[in-house]
Amino acid sequence: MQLTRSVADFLQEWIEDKDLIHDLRLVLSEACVNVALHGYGQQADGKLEVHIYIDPLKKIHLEVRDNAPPFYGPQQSVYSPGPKDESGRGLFIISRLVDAFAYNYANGQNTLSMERAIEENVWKG
Amino acid sequence: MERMSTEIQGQICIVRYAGELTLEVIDSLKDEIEEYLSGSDCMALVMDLSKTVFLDSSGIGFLVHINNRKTIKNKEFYLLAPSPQVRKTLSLVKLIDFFHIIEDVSEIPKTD
Repeated sequence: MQLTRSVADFLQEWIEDKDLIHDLRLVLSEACVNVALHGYGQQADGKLEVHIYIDPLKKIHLEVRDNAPPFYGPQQSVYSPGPKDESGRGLFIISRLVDAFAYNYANGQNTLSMERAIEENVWKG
Repeated sequence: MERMSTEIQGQICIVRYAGELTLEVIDSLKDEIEEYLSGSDCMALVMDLSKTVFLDSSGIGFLVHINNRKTIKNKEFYLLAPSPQVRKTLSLVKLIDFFHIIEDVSEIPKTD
């Protein structure tokens, strides 16, 4: 997904650790795919925004916003699917790779917020 | 850029996939892999993931799908030398021990 590649490229300007950038890209990819598959539906068009908030030397906060119908997934418990399940791992991956995540629906907009603390020694500059 | 190639070694079909294994590519990959699963020439299907640089939950679902299908088709399915990124993601979702991972095709038992 070009969008998540672009975000990863942007984060490389701030963070040295490629593994960490990979994690953040994976988190973002899962959030965006959830919107595409379960929000708008795979064949439908819709608006999706990614907001990146950087708190230097402390944390990165990602938000994925869309105008699809309300999504209630994050209010349910996050579970690890069985090994033969072919889907349902997106939220589980997000839950494993961020320190906190939250879902909000207001004024016709879904917002999935995800935050990860970043150790001082992996920041550039 | 994604790139797929195949190689046949006797009854072993090796599918080499370079690039990102994500939602954007899995539908077309499923169709191609199904040909190997449905045919009688290929008894073992090997997915070479050594050059797969990114794997998300859709890609994981694709690998699980093949693994489920091989049971129905009475074939073997192996992951060949997954890249560090692929191993990390499979570990994250607790599937690293679920798949049969090999480092070399010579590890596949010979069949008569």
